[in-house]
Order: sequence, then C-alpha cells, then structure tokens
Amino acid sequence: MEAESWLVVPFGEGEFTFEPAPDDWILPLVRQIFELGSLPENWNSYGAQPICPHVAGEAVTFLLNYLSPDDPFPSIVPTARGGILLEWHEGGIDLEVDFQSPSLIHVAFEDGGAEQECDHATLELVEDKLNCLRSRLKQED
Amino acid sequence: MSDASPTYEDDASILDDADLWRRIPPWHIVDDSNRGGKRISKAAFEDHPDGSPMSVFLGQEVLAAGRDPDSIVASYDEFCLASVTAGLARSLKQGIVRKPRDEEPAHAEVFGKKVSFR
Repeated sequence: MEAESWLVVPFGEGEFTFEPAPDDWILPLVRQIFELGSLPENWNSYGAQPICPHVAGEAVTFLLNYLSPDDPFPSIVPTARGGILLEWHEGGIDLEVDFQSPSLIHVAFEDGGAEQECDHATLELVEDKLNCLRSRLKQED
Repeated sequence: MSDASPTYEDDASILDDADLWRRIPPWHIVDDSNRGGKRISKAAFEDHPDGSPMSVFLGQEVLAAGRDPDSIVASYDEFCLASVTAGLARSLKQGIVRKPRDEEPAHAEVFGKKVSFR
C-alpha cells in the first residue's frame, strides 16, 4: 500500500508535520518518540523535565536520515533533562546516542572491554559507530 | 570527592554494603540482546535537572522504620525499584550523603559525574 504523502504527529501541545510521510518501516520508531511528548513534568518522580520538542525533532531527523530498514531498532529512552537517548545493545556492542539538546549529542560506545565516550559528537561519528554495529551483526549472520 | 560536586563529602557512616534504592520509571527498562533480556538504562541514574545530585533512599533505614520496599513505588504505576550498594557506587567514583526530608527521612544523594554509571 502506498504511503500517504504527508503525516501529522502530535507532540505535547504542538505537532510535527512530515512531508513526505516517513516510510512504514520506521513509523513505529517515529511514533515512540512522539509519544514521549505526552510525558508531564516530573515524569520520573525526581523532577524530570518534559521532553524538548526540538530534541525530538533532531532525534527523528537522525533516524530518518541514518537508519535503514535492515538496521536493528534502538530503544527510545527519555532523559531527565528533556532529552532523548537512543540505545542499541546487540552483537556484543553497546551504543548509546544521547540527544541532550538540539545541538549537543553525547555518544557512548562499548565493544567488549573497550569503551569510548564523546561529548559534542558529530553525526559522522554516530554513523561510524552505527556502521560498527552493522558490521558486527553482519558477521554474526 | 568529585570535581563536579565540591561542596559534598562522602558520608563514611553509610557503609559499603548499604543498599541504595532508586525508583525506575517504565521508560528506562530497555532491551538488551547482549544479556538476553532487559536492562536499566543509564538514563535512570541521572542527577536532577536542577543540578542537584541523584536522589536515592537508604534501604536499611526504610526497613528500620518498619516500611516495605513497595512503599517507595506504591504511588507510581509500573515503576520498579532498583538497588545498588554504596560500595558499587563508590567504585564508580560516586559519593553518598544523607539528605533527609520531612516527608522522607531515608532520602540521600549520590554525587559525582555519572559518565559510566552502569
């Protein structure tokens, strides 16, 4: 079935419009992120802030631009400061991409014993780590 | 003591085998194929957004007051209770300080940069 040409998704008191609509395979992830828009203040019982819509936009944009249908889906995790953390724990690799603000990404990557962390990560670094995960999973097939 | 929290001092009266309890919201339980199950996201162990250190409950003090562990999460749908020892927290360069509150005498805070708090 052909996808709609556009999609409107509510987020908090606002909404996001996608033109064109995302492909069907990634819609579950997109919806998971936008469901976080309904989290109220103090959603973690320790004073957490609502999720920042700009951060949600950045996280979705990242997924749309860098994830492919064959990739494993990350867990979508809200953070106390209103950010979004994407987590993969597969193939012996732990990859965490933390969208802390619209312009600040923190990456943690652990492969066996070796752990790397990077504040102010670039999207190229994130893609590089994602490629490491893809390669590992391909080796395991 | 952590550089990020120069005004806090680790409380040695909280022994290494003391249990530190923290509420875990359902959004912080994630899939982990490496372990063949679920894990708690590191996002569950962040400091407060206002910059104050991470809140915990001193488990033994809760029990000594005649309260059940369930009392910590009773008001929160689908929340779990995680427990780590003070010794484990200290091994990750954290310190623990008592911060009793009127409504929660067993409240404490875990201070220090939480880069690798897994």
